[in-house]
Amino acid sequence: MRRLAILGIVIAIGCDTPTVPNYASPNPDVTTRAGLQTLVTGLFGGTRIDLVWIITEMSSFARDAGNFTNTDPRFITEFLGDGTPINNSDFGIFGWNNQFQMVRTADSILSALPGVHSPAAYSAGEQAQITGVVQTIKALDYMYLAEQRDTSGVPIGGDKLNDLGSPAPILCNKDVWRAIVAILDSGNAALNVDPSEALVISLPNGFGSVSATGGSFSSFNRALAGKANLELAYAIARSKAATAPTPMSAGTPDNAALLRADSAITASTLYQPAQLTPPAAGAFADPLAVYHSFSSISGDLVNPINGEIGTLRMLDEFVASVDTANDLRWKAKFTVNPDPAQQQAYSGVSAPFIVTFYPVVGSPIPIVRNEELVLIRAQIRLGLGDLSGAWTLINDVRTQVGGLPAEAVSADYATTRDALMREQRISTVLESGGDRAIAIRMYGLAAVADTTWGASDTHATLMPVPNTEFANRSSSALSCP
Amino acid sequence: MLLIPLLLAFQQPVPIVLAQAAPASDHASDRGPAFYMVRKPGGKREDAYGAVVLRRRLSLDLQDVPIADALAAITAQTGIRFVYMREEVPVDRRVSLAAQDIALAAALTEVLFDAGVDVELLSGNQVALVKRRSSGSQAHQRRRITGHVLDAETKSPLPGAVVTVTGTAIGAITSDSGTFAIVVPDNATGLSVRRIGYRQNSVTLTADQSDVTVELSKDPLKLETQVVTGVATTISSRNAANAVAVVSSDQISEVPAPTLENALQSKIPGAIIEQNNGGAPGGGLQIQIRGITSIEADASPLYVIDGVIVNNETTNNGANAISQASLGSPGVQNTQQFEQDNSPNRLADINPNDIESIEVLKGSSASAIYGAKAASGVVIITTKKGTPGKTAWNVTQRFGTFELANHLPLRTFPTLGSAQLWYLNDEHSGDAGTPAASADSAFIKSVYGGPQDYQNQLFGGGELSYETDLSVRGASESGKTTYFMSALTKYDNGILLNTGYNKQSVRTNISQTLLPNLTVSGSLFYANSLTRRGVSGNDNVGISPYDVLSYTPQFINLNNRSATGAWARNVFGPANPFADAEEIQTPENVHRFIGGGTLSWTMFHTAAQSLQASVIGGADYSDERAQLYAPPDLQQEQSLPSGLPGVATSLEANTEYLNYSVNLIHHYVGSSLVDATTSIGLADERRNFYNPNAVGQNLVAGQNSFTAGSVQSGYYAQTALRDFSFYGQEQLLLLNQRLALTGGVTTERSSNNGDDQKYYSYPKVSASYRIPHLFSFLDEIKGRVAYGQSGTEPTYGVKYSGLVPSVLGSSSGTFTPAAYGDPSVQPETNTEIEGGIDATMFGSRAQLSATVYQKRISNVLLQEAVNPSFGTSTQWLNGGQFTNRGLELSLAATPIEMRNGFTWISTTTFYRNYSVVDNLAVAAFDLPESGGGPFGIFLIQPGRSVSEVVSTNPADVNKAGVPVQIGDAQPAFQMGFTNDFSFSSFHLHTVLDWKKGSTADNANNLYFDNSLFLLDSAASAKRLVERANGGSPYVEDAGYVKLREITIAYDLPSRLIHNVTRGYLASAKLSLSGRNLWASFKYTGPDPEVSGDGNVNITRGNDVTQYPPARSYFVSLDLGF
Repeated sequence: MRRLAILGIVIAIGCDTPTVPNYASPNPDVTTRAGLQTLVTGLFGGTRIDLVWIITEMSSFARDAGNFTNTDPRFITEFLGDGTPINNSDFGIFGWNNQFQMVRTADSILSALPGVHSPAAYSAGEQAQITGVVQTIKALDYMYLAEQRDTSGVPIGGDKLNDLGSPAPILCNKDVWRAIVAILDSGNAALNVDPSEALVISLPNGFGSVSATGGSFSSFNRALAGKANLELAYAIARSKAATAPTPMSAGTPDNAALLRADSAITASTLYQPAQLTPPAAGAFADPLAVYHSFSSISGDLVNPINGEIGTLRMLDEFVASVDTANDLRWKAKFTVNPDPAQQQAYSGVSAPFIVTFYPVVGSPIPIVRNEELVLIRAQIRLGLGDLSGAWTLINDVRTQVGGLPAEAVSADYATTRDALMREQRISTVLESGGDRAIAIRMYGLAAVADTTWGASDTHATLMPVPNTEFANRSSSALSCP
Repeated sequence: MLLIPLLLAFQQPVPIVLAQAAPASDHASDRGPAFYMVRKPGGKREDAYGAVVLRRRLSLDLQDVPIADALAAITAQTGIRFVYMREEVPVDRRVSLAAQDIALAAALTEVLFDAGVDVELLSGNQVALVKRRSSGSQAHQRRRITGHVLDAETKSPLPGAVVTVTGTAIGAITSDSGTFAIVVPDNATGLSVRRIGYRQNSVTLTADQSDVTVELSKDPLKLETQVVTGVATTISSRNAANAVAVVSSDQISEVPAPTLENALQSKIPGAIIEQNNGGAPGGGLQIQIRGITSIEADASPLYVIDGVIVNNETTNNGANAISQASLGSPGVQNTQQFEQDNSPNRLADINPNDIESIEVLKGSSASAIYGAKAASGVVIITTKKGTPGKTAWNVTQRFGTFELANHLPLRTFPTLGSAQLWYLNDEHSGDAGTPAASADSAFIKSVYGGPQDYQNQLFGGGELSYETDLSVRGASESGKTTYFMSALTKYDNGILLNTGYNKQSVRTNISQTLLPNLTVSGSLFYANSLTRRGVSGNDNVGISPYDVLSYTPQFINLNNRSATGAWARNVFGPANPFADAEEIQTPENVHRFIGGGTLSWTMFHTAAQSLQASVIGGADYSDERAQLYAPPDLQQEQSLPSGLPGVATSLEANTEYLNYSVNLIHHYVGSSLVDATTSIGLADERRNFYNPNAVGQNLVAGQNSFTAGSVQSGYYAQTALRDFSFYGQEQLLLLNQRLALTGGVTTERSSNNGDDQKYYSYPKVSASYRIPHLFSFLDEIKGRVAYGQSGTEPTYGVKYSGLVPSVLGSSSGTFTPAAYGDPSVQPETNTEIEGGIDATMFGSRAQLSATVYQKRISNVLLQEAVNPSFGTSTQWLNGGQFTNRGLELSLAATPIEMRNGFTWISTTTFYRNYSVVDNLAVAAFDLPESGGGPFGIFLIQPGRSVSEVVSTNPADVNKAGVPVQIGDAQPAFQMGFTNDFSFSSFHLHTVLDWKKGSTADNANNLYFDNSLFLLDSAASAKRLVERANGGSPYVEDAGYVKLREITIAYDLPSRLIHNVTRGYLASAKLSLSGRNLWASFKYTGPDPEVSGDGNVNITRGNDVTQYPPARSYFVSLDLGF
């Protein structure tokens, strides 16, 4: 009997509950406002994760700069091209997986929003306000995707929160931009349900200029909408070979989209051509801007471009395009490396400049800002055939920000375009908008031979859709009209 | 015979010892007393031969004393009171008996021999001596046999041999003088004698035989071993139905090994044992048995030491905070530990010298009893125990060194002109950090320091390594207590400057016989190690030594400090490898405790059967502390992309393993035709893992604590496991032990499963049949077949889909994870069938073993590559199936055994495994660790090898749309050749290892091709072109032939050492050893035996500026006292 009792005790010990909790990542209770806020913070924070790829890619495509780290030549071979088409290596997933994770996070927030009840449910107006904010960030993530992949396409469509069965269709470029515009417009409508009501969710510091009310956040939304409609206008044109812009012609960008773009930008309080000011040397401090924030707090992200300063090289073509002697932007943003041994070279040509506008690990990176918006509106005016209007804006930036004399107004499309792109290059280099790379594609300049890597250099201009995205799809070919 | 299904468990069928060290004498067979049990006065007499009381042990020294005095002496020691009638017992008759630790039955047999009385056990401690009844009583059914067991060659007595009466559980163990005495049934027909290291021998008993001498021949091929069939049950290898590999202590200790796995390389057919990171000190190897057994779950074997399941985890030490290897790009702050941290696995803590034997249960048909942790095999380690006889001391002292085994052929610059030419030819295009060009190369002149040999300077090794091992084993005078104790201290120098491995360990194994039927044994092991491995392997800051060499021409003198102590600056890149090696500290301090014990209780025992209960269990606790430090003033730190010079970490990894099993074992021996062992049991296992890690960056100069960093990051990981299982087994030896049948089942639940209350069952059955003397040359041939299932548990957390924590400024956030869990996840199922033959030939001079197996892994745990546009890139699920099929051959032979003492013992093993993906529940997918591009990808797709590497070049797709295979991580085959030559006192031992096929990703070449610093610049240029065309020039053949071990040893003459040391020293051996002294391979990197990602299942062969390979030399002196 005693033996049985001992045996019983041993078995009882073994039969206790085997459940082990999820130590790695206990989930917040999204029925609470605090829980929902963690998702919102996660959405803003997560959107930044692949920013280094996005900026490095786009500046490489634009032949502005490259990461010449000696620890991984793929920065050169896959972004700068080096005459080699970008293949589908593991670099291809960057700026893709993460952005879709954020799209899903945004959908999760929108799904959870009506169920929040502690300490109190959100009112209809508050729900609309949060919806507007979340949809705007979701659209921003799609914009990053669309700008990196361009004509490779982006899958958009359907609520896949509870269905991992069939993936969304990969849309052609113009449809991608239509979808993005739709999301932005939907978000803007929600933000303006009760535009003067203070935001009930906390936003990061970088959104300080637009975080007071739904209405103020709408300015950020409209700024993005201006850019998105501009890209839509040209995506439509590029989809029709007969009307696509070429190095010599303006092509036929979609007029309606351009008008919407113009309207959206001018509706944004971030767009203030009268308030352009020369940049201060060192860190950005543009008050009319929205930034991604960074810090060295444990768990937070540091400014990734600051981290690249040691290996980042401004390409010859970029340096040659700048009036380095007089342009205040150049002087504020670049300097010669004080360490002669670190005055780096590539391809036998010295590149002694280092970036000074992200001086510390906590330096913010612009998402969109006034100077950029002025030049985007110049692109819109150019697209609408308003060369004069474009020149006004070009020279606004050139004189007020660059401290340079105004250029003579030209009625020639190509001259105007090139002037615009030249100002855009120094004004927005290494920011997250990727404006110059976008302009190169937009104006049909991607096929123009660059001389950076030799006479026949045909460099990369877009990232491919990752291999993994073709799982569960019948074809990897994207057929676009 | 008991075939009760519930009677299952694990037991070694140890014969009950009735007598030991009894004096040999010549008596008639029917003159001893018979033993009876009388439960009530006048009641029926029952056979009491196996009664517990009769197994009480005592020691007597009686010289010519009356029987009455002898009985009194027995009473004094045992408490047994004797009652008898003086007229029935010749109490005045004089007897003599001198014996140590004999059973009461044996003592009474001696004292009452020829006294004409029988023994009746009454209640309590009373024993009645009664006059023997008429013939035909029990007394006439027993007789006493005495004998000697001798070495057949030397005729010296063999202590510790097990003598068993054929067809019974009756047995004895020989004394120090090789004698035994045993009371056997009158109809006993024979004795079987076995001893470790000798071949089993059986002798026939004639009807009136009372004395026997048995000679045992040595077993150099180790044909006679006991192999494990469960947690605590064994079977003779001659009956085993599985191909269980057994490695003995002498095979492990021939050549000093950094860690245990090194000593096992090429000795186990069916196992691939390879280093992950060249010659990095402190270990870091992977054992893979019978192919890849899981794609995503933990596919490493289960390790059991003396019944304690032990931890062989690898905890990444946090070197990523310095190397930033996990970064896809510079600047993103990720200082968390990473799989490329180049850390050792914890088997490294074990002292190989403590090991008596290692048995490897290779597949499910053998290991099913271990349930869902056994699919990748079970490595059962038995440590040395105390042995009866004189206390034996052993001291081993070793001195040696490790040195670079293979140099990369790097370009040299013997003259200033050659350096200038290199520079002017613009061959350095694309190198980061290249100083501004000067047309006349004045710059080169200013930095030219003469030709340098960085490899020899950095990897010169040359430090003295040493190892001192002390052990003692023995037993108390009574033999009730046996003990083994050992102590080790060793230091292995690293070949890279400022690296090395220091370890101390102690072990105590004690066994105590508390009662004749109750034995308890315990073991305690403690090890402390300090490993310094530096920073090597993949990095993103240009710090790994070979990374630096890839961008630095060998003509600047970097191994140089100024008068102020400042290190020379590398003008060609961000790091000075000499400064980094000297200044960066990478200590990993580990404390390891393993304690275990066994309680074995024989609940009853008769001549025909016994019932035993045992509790086996223990705990394994390891505490690892890594405090890495990179000073902020280093050039490399000053050049960091993050702009945060100086890194200090404080990482801890506490791992707790606890397990126990409770077993009931019934052993029945019906006759020579039936031997049945039935066992049942339960097992409980718990694991806990805690892993806090703090990292400080931007350090205050001179302070090496993470708290001195202006930027501090904290990480924490925790996992836990709770498993519980029931198991049972029936093991039958039939038809004179020719036929062996085993069946069993384990049912187990685990907290890692989606349904943690659900039990999963793992059955097994096996059979073997021996046919002796089928042909004249064939001593015996055995056919065997086995079937079994085991499992692989999901890894911790797979069932959860936790949000990803994120910090933004002072706010905490979460977002959806990249990998979605499976709340219903189940263990993988591993179904194996194996068959084979074992043929012993030419008078046991040769044995051929051949095994074929099929191992089918179903319900595979997959991380499905979900379309990332869903917002998650992977999802865990069970589905699909892949199969391993393999062949294992082993030929052990003694080709030469000459009268003059020259012997040659040779063992050749062959292993081939082929895997194929049968089906997938998901679309074909590539593994996340795939290199991609010029490295190819590991693509999992139906109909192909699970470890195949395919090209990513769109042009490399065949007509069916299947990407072209360009490599495979698994070899075509692997062979091992072990040869031992002995002549007089000299011994030569060699182990050759041949791996044919397999591929590795030589990213080293990618680094060096860009700088054109390899001697073969034409090959570099060719690879660059191939790569530019979308090819995969860095996937290379990773086959090799290596001389793993070589030792030449000399046994000093025993007479000499005896005379010189006045008998203190019993033996002395001097040996000279080398490990990995020679290798041949096509691979153009330092070593094809590499895995930069550590212990990964499939994606091995990732070679990114790893720690280079080492070879070692040692001189050893072994002294036995």
